[in-house]
Amino acid sequence: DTVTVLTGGPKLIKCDEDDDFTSEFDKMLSDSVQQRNVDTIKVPQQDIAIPAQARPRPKKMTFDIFSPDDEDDNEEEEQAESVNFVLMMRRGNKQHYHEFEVPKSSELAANLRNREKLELAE
Amino acid sequence: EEDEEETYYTKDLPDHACRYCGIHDPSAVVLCNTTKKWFCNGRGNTSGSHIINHLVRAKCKEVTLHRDSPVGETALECYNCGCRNVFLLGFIPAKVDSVVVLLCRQPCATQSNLKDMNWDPSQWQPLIQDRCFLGWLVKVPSEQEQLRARQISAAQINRLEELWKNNANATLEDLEKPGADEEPASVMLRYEDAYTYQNIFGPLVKMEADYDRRTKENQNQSNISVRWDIGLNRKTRAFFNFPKKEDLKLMQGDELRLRYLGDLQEPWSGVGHVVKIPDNYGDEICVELKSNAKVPVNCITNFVVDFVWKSTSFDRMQSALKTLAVDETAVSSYLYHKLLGHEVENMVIKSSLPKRFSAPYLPELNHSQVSAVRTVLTRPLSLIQGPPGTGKTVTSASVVYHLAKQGLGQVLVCAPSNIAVDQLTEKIHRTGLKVVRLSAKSREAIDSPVSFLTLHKQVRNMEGNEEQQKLQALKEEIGELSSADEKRFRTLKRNNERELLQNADVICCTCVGAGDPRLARFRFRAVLIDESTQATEPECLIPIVLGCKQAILVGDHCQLGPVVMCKKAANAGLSQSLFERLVVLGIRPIRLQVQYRMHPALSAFPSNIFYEGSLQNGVSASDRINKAVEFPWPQHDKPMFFYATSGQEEISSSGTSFLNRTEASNVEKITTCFLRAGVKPEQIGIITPYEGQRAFIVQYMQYSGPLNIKLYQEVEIASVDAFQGREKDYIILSCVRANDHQGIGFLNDPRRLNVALTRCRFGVIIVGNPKVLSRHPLWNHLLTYYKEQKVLVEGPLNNLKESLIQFSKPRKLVN
Ligand SMILES: [Zn+2]
Ligand SMILES: [Zn+2]
Ligand SMILES: [Zn+2]
Repeated sequence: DTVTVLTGGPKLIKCDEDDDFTSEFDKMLSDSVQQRNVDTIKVPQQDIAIPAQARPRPKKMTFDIFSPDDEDDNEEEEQAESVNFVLMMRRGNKQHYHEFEVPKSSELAANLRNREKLELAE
Repeated sequence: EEDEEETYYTKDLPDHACRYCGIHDPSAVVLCNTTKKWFCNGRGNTSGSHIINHLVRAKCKEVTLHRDSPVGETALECYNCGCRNVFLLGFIPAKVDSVVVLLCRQPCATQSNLKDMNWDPSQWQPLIQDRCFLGWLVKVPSEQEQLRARQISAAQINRLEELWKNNANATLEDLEKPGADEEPASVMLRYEDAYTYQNIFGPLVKMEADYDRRTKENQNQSNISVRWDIGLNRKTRAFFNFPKKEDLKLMQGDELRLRYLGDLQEPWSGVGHVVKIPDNYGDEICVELKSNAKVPVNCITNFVVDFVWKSTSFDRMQSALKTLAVDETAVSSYLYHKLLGHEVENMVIKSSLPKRFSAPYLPELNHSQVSAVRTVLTRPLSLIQGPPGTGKTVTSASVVYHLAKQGLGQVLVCAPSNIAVDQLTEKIHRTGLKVVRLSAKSREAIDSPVSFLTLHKQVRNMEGNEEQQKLQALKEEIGELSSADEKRFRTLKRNNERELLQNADVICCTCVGAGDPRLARFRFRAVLIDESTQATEPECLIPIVLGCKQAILVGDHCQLGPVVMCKKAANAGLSQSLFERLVVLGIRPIRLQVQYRMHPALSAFPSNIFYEGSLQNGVSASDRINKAVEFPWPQHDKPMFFYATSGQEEISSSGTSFLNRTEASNVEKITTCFLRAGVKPEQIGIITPYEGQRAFIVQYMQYSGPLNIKLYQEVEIASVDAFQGREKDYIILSCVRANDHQGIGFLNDPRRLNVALTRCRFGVIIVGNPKVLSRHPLWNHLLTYYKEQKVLVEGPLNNLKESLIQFSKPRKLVN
């Protein structure tokens, strides 16, 4: 059912309204940040612990820094391509966790790999 | 089966479909918490995803994910403090685990706040990147999906958002319906009759009123904590802060309603007028309540503040438009035809001209001022153009003096702003004329330099008014009078007010104030309107339709025009003043030509660019050099320079750079240098285009400036518009966010630049990025001029060096 539309994907159309949008976006961003600097917000300085259940399930752990990438087990092809992360969020007073996948080539994954290597070196 | 077919054809998009393009994959859409509309995370053909387009255009900041999305129904918020502003939210990863947590950028993600060893705050990244939510949080619809969806342009998005302000359920289809989005009829140069005139301006005034009501009513704020106090007049005052200050548009005299929502006592609501707004000294707002009855002074939290919108000023404009149409005595027939742009034979007013044109106790008039006063007195309609510092107020006061002395009746003197009215009132009072300053009832609690001339103060101190004074005292003591006493008090007050007004030589009020019911039965043969180039036509008309036969409009169409908030009404011509239209119709303004404000080196550029080089200097360089002040001007005979500051043209979309810091820091250094040299803080004015930046500089100077905090508090920091009509000895102009996308007219509007450059007496310093600014033709001229004068500099303040930057040759300016 996949068609390839020959015109390619959606293309940016430059216009005044779009320029207004980008500059208004910048303004909202900087206003928000400045507002935060002006307000002295008191927040609890608490430790944010990482509870055990927040860690991605081991089965899905895909980094194995001891074995080279090409020696991946063949259980799941895609394992080599993506990494599972867990997002910690709060819903009212309750914490909840949500697993999500990012490509192994992503910045998020690469950074984690670097940090793990560093940690190990120490 | 038929039913099925029926439903098949009428199949609607689900509620959670993107209101722009219709995409409805639950993992690709987000709900705007404020407007309860869904938008997708695809950018279509615009520079940001649809949800970001909406948030920015509708000024919303909080969102919720769909219940069928992988994350489930969740409002995005900071894990630590609960902040929901998505423009501040981001995430940080754990150091070793593949776990991330949502945290606001400030203060929760800053190093000092995060003591925890598990996290790496240096890795903080915003949730919105490249004006789109991160794909792992909200799916970006595929190119295929986006191409199949409704194609909507940025222009259509814009119009749809405008429609939603009136009708939250409007759809893209409504855009095509006739009338939904129609442009209003534009103003004309000439009008057949006053009905045509009313038919054009009436709808524009209504549009502006609707816009004003919407923005004001959107300012409602909850969770307010109140501090109570009693004013000198024994009325209860509530002090509080607004948590959301970004879009605050409050003025003294505005009406707010305060409501108590807690359960410590029964529900309460009270209405009052704003008597203090946030300033350099503090962010508190103060409201004086109309009634002291049952005020919950023991409760301090759980209040809500609503804006009470008043249509008064717009009603008065509509009424003036109508009066001009239906009442033949509203204005003389000469003025009637002149105002509508008809050809009329010239008319001269025969009056005996005074021997001396200067007025008692006012400065002696110069040649061009005398000629202005003489001409004005003989004409039924005249325009006086007063460029900056040319003695417009003194000239106006002198005109008023002679008009009043002719004995042809009372003179009505108006201006759009209260400040301008007060300044003129003070000058007219000095000539010895009997002046009454009529101010709005809502502003009676606000102090001004001419308080003693206001009607409400004069009526209190009136002689032979013992009964009213007694009742007044009683009222203030007890808070309320018996209904009989109250009735008596009001009658007495009304009669006394009328007596004072009738006995005045001159009555001064704002243009809108001229529509006050207390003036309803008054007729004014002569009306002078100062700063008339800052009033809209209908506003200007309010004082004129009170029987005017001789009208004098004073102003300068080369400085800022009236403020019209509604873009559509402005584009249709509401932002053009009557003065300007009359100039276009061929009435030549009488120009005052000698300026007494600026050092000659400072007036040269504005004179050449904005006044065809016609400005003469009434002050010499030595009058405007303060030898006691040692300041490192790069050229000792030119108290001006452009301080080239680079690298902060734009805040990056990632929101990780503080573009204002460097510029604020330079402004602080210059200010400190002035203060150290012995300049008093009230002699310095800092002009900056944005409210956000103003607040930032205020804070920055007070926290980072090396001198006493009080000194910095007394330095006035405001927008160009707030400085119009006023002067300071030294002006520091901070251009702030000069970038290629500058949508705001700060840099483009020559009139605003004119005002910014002409506020100073002794010196001006412009801080900005010359490279970016030079792309604007007008700024190119300015920069080239500063370079020629060898005052385009860079480097530390104590070692300024000429900047070597090159500009392309300036294009010829066309006005
Ligand atoms: Zn969409
Ligand atoms: Zn919204
Ligand atoms: Zn936070």
